[in-house]
Amino acid sequence: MTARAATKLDVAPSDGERHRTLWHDAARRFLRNRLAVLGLAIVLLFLFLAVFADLVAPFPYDKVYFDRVLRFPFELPGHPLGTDEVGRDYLSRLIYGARTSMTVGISVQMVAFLIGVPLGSLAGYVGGRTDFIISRFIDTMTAFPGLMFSILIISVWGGGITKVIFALSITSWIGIARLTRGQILSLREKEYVEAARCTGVGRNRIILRHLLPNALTPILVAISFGIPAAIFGEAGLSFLGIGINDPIPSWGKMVGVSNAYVRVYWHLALFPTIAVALAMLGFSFVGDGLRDALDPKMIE
Amino acid sequence: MASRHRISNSGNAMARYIIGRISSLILVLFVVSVVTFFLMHQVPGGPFDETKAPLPPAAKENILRKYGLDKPIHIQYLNYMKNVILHFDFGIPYQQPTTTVTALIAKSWKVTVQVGVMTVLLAFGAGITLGIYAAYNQNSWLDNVTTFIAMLGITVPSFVVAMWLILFFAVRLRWLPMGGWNASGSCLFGSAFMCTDWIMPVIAYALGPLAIIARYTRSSVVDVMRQDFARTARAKGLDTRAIMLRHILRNALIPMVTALGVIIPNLLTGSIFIEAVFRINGLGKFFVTSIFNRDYPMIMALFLLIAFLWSLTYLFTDIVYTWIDPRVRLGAEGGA
Repeated sequence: MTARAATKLDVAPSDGERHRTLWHDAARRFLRNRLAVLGLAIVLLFLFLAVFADLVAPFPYDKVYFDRVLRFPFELPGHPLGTDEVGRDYLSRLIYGARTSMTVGISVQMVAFLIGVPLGSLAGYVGGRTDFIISRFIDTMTAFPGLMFSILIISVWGGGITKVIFALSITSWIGIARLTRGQILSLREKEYVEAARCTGVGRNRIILRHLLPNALTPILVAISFGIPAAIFGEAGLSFLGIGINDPIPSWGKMVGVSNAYVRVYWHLALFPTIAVALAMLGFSFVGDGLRDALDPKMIE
Repeated sequence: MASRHRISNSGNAMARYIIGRISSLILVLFVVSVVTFFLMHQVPGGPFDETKAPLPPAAKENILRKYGLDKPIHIQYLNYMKNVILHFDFGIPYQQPTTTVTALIAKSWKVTVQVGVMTVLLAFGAGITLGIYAAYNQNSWLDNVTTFIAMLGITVPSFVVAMWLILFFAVRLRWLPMGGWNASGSCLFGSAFMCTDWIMPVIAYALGPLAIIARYTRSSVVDVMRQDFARTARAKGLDTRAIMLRHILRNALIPMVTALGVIIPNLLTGSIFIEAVFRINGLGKFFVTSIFNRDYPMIMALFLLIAFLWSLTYLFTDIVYTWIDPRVRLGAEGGA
């Protein structure tokens, strides 16, 4: 990892090229990893479906056809994945389900990033009493049974996508904060940081320009694993029937609702299962690939 | 994380460390009790809202007074905590007013613990075995099977696995019962020895942690196998088994303790899903029904119990960790 130290007193041999090569190398390593590229393709596909669901989906997600209830795949022209228990096109609901999953997964990790990174950096860099208070807070939150609180919160304020995001965010930032703190703690003793401090660089600038970019790699990897975890969480809550409210589709809810019909209408459970599994697979491959690609110790 | 010096853990340091951790455990329980208490009283509707027969106002007032629900909420909290701390009295569950919360939990927690223990045994037993074999026979068919199981366990949620298991083995093949736990018809040799209704919940529940453990073991064994001391042991002419057991596993399994510390607390709350799918009457099921019934004393007791067990497993694994790996310094990460 190259230390882009403060400008004037830079002791390290400063060739400006090195800075770009980390990301450049990482991208090359990532693209050479076949599973990672496959994962990326899956993730991009789901993101595409999520963003352009209105254009891609053949039907609106809530359009009900009472004359086409519970049809099998390809039974009716125009419904390649069949219809659900109230006659909604299943393919369209799956596509809109991608929007729900991606929104929840990415939002929860964004909140985790926005809370975890500042808290962790503050604790790691300032140290002393600040670190003590933040660390105790993190420890306390670690012992919070997150899932149970999510259920309680949703039963207090009701379901819906923003509330699910809120409920899942309560504990999602803890790992990021802990990780950031550890990273900053080990980086702040490095010579280049000392050099920056000597030249009179301020605290915030040291954190933002010198520490965080170097600490970012593991945080990025943690986030890429956090997104599928959040998608899992949403699916679980919706499966229990307290997550996303009807008529907004969610893969977890589709599996849960299908429980009553699955003995005959197997497709109602099969397709959302595949969707969840594919999304998980995609994000885990990307996470693995990122971790390997961004690891500067990896020798080709 | 930063520096792990080789410092002997004197008894004094250990005692100070444990006292520190226990005081933070008490803090956790306090915070959990406050947050839960005030949050659950935010739930719209109360436990005695009329659903079927409307109560006369006087009768309802009496009930509310009986359970102390007519008082301001902070007084209710103080009363509750006084009873808990002084008398270990967690109140009376509104859903079954003839018993106490403690009795109801005592009755149902055995089931959850049974499910949990069997899941942990299966997950760790099969996970570690698969991981070792996969590491030793890299790129063999067994390695590929392990990778596939690991992928399945990581990508498919436990409740979905459960549903498909039920569909195949209970509905289609009729080999196993659809749900229940220790149901009289399903046990060989009387109850609680070997019941067929244990099989599916435990498999569905164990698959996720099993996958993580198998992956973890595989990569960690591969790492250790490449190290110098493993090569030396091989060069010395020791047979594979001895190298595996005495040299490699000892080092490779140290990180597993951390995995245990993360997996076990999650198993405590994850059983909510398994108990819902298989209709098992354990703590997880009570948790959901209590929230839906606004059963305040039950909710409080369950949250405190889970938070307590959760903190306890974290503390326990940290201590075990310092025991088996002398390089780890106590409190190196906590900063206290």
